[in-house]
Amino acid sequence: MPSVVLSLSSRSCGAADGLLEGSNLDQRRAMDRFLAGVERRAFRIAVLAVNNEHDALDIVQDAMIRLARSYGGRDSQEWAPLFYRILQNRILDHHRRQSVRRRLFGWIDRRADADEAPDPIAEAADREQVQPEHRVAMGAAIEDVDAAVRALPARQREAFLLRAMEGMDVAATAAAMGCSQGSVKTHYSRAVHRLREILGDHWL
Amino acid sequence: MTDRPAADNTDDSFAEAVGARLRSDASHLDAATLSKLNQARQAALEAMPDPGRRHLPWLGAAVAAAAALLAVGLWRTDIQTGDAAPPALAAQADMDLLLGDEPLDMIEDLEFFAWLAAEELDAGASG
Repeated sequence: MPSVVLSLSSRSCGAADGLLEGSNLDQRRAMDRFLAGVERRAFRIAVLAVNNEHDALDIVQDAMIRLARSYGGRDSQEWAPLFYRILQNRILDHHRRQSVRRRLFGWIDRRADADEAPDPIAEAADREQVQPEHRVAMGAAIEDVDAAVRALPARQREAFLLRAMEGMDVAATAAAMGCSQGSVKTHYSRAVHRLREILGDHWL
Repeated sequence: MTDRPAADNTDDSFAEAVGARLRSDASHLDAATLSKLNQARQAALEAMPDPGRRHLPWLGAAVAAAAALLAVGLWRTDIQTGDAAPPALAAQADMDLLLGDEPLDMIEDLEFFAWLAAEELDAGASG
C-alpha cells in the first residue's frame, strides 16, 4: 500500500514539475517578447532623458533586470507600467548621481583652477546648449524633435513620451509615473503645447 | 489606450506625428546598439526567478508532513492489530535487559529472545 502511495505521489510530483517547467518557460517567453517589444523605445526614452547613449544602455539594462527579477512572476499585463516606472526611477537616480558628481567635482575644479586665467575655448558656448527654438530656425530635422523633447521639464517629457510614443493610456501612464490621472493629463497637455510652440505646426 | 487627453484635434494630430517620428527613429537603431540591447534582455531573462524553485520548500514540507502522517497511521494500525508490543512495554523490556544479570552477549540473539518473550506472553495469556 505505501509503495503504491509513493508511486502515485512521485508520478503526480513529476506532472507538477512538468507543469511548473512549462509555466516557467511560457513566462520567460512572454518576458522575452515584452522586453524585445519595448527595448528600442525604452532606449530612445533614456537617451532623450540623459543625453548619453552609454548611460542610457546601462539604465535600460538595469530596468530590464529589475523587472524580470522582481516582477517576472506577475501577470504580463502589469509589466509595461512597472517597467516604465522602474526606467523613470533609474533615470531619476542617474540625474541625482550626476548632480552630486557635478557638485563634488565642480568644487574641486574651482579650487584647482582658482589661480588660472580663463580659457576662451572653454568659455565658448556649447553647441548642444543652443535653445531648441534656435535649432528649429537653423533647419535641423529629427534633432529638432530630440532637442524640443529634451527641453521639456522631466515630468512633461515623461508623460508625453509614454502617451505619444509608447501609446499608453492615461491610467497606465499614471501607474508608470506614480501620480494621478489628472496630473498625467496636465503634464501631457502642457508638453504638447510647449512642443507646438517650439516646433511649430509644420508637423501636422 | 483609447481614452485620449482632453485636447483639440490639432493637438492630437501634432502629438501623434511627433510620437510616430520618435517611434520611427527608435526602430532604426544601429546594429551595435541592438546587439547590446539583446545582451541586456538575455541578462534580464537569466535574472528571472524560477517559479518551480520558489515552490520547492513548500513541496518538501508537504511531502515530509505526508510521510509523517503515513508513518503514524501505519504505527497506529500495528498497535490496533496487536502486531507490535505497546511502547511502554517495549521500553520496560529494554530497561530490564540493560539492568538485568544476563550477559549483554544475548543482544546478539535479540530476535531469538524476542520470540521467546512472545511465546511466554502467549503461554501466560492462554494459561
